[in-house]
Amino acid sequence: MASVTLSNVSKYYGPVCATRDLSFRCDDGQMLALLGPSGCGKTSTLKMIAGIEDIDAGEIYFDEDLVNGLSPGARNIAMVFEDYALYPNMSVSENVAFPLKLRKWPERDIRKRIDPILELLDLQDQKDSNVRRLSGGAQQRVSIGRALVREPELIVFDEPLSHLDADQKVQLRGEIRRLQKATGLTGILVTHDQTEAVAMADLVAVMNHGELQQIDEPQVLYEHPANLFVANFIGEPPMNLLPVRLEETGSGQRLTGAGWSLAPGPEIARRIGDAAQDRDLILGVRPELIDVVEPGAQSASDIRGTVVWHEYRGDAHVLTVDIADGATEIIVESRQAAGLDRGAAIGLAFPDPALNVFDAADGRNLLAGMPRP
Amino acid sequence: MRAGLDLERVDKAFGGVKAVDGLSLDIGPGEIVAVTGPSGAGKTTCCRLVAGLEFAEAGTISIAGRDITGLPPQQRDVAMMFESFALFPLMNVADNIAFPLRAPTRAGRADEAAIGRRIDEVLALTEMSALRERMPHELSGGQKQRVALCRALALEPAAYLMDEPISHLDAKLRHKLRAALRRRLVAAPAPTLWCTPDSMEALSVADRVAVLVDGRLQQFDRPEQVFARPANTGVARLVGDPGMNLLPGALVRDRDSLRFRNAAVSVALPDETRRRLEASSTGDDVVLGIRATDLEIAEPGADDACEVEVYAYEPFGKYAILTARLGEDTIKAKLFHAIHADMGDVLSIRFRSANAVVFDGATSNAI
Repeated sequence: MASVTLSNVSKYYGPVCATRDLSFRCDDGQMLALLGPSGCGKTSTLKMIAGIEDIDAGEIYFDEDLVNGLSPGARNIAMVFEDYALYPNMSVSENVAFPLKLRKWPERDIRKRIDPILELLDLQDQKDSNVRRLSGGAQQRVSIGRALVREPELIVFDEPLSHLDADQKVQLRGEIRRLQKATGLTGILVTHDQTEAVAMADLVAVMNHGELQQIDEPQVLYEHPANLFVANFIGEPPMNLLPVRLEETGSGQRLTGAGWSLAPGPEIARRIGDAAQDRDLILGVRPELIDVVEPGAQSASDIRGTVVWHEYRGDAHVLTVDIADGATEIIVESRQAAGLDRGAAIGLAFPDPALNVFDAADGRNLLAGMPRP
Repeated sequence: MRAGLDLERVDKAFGGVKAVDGLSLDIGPGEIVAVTGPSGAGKTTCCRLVAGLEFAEAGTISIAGRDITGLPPQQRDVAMMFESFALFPLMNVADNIAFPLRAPTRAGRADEAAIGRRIDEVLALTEMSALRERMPHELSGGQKQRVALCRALALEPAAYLMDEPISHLDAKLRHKLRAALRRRLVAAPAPTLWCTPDSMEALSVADRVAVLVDGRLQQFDRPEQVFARPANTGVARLVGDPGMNLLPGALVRDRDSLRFRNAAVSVALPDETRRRLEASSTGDDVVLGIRATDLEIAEPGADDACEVEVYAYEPFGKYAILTARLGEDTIKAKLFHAIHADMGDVLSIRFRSANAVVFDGATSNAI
């Protein structure tokens, strides 16, 4: 297995830019997820890494070796596709053994190689079954087995779970993660589903319009989104994004929205800085980090609202709350339901650790990197 | 007379396999009943039986007291949204939505201006207004699904039948549409049957939830009840994100306490559970059901804690899912504070048993 490094990689389809100046690194033994909406360039990136698409500018390295000019075969990459791409008339073990058969390995060596892989993937009991009789999840495990058997430098996973039922998705994503950790394989995963990215990857690279927005561990993406795009993309329900301005009042600085305002703590005020004065800002606050308090309770942020919609989510309740007489609705997620029926008047507190402040002009998070308790 | 939709002991088999088996449901006017279950549970068959695309072999289906069991689809006055969209490829979005409104068989046809207003309204509701003139082949899967949804919503039928109406949309749009659709459907005088494999969607959108497994109704109750007090282990496993943890073991009765015990864990059960058990004839073989949110990290060696081995740790941001081996079983804990956990680590877990559910080990039914 090898590390993978992209350095200023760009790709154009005619005048359309698929990726622009993309730079990131996936260490040996790590799984990296390329995450983004459709058309963000994640699949083009994967194809350039695999050697299926030419690179228009920049370099791709496996360890220290430049692979730009190498054909897919010469890069020693295995691919796992969303539709499994198995040989339908072959058994499980024949499918897994196929790459070795092509290389004319002796039967005994093939057995030796595939047995532990079938064991690892829990396919021993089904090794003689025709692959068409397997569930989607088991078929994808066969396809992963076929990838592993070649001992590739890198395995790329292209939306590997998208054809599976929900319960199989949850199971297989756990298995892929476990396998990746246990074998120390280097993997690059393409997905549009943040849950899959978080469940399977060490690092998540969020892309939009062909550009890298942020690459970090999942928890960091959630706590410190670099910009408005990442803030809005990561998290469900999404972060509330509210236009505000920083205003100097008799009692200190306040972030003021339409019909409400709050006093940020000193550290936030310092980081936003004087530069934010008179600039359009966006306050970002995650629904699950908002506290529901008694209306009129003394807190730094004295925000009153009315519950306009209440959605039951089993172990949580998602509220739509009007905080400015019809002008601004925000989403609040509470683990308690008492007193939160439609029409209820409530108070809200946005605690400092829940706050993100973005520059409305360029989308940058002005609090990026601020320590969170 | 009720203006609702009623199914009474309805059977339907395909090639000897019962797709729907003795199903009874009642859906009131303006009520949304969500039918949920795994694939193959009979959800789609249920919709098709009411729409008249399949015919029941036994039982009756009635709308507003009128027996429609044997009627052809066009005489049933239902609006069905198909999971496969079933759009007309040569008609644009607006014409697809207008098609049933313009149907010559339709009683009280609306004039074109009224049809236009109806189309505008449903397109706005589903955030599709900009795509009014597009052809189906120019739409993404999620957009096609919304056209199919609009076509059903534009009607004022005696019953709405929604087969996975928002499954192809992204999470944000699903969240918005759950609320928008619920607001609209509960304001309509017609009942709604809403099929979805997503149990959380069923809990969110419905007044009552019907859980179907292998064509048989497992539980039919308010969402809060289905979540908190699943009728059997099948429902417990299906409903929730993640589903309930289920641990086989035995009840141990002391003088005035009751514990659940297996080789790996011993949990004190609340008094209410004890009283309920005294009133039942349950044996000591049981399955303990406990929600992932009712497991918490404990100090190593703490009273009432048990040791687990980390199988996977998934930090989803607002919470993390810890999957761990507990003796012979795998459990999932939903943690609201990030921890550091690597595969193979040993952690201590405490069970908060106040909301635990005890299932009969023999029948799998809740006690």
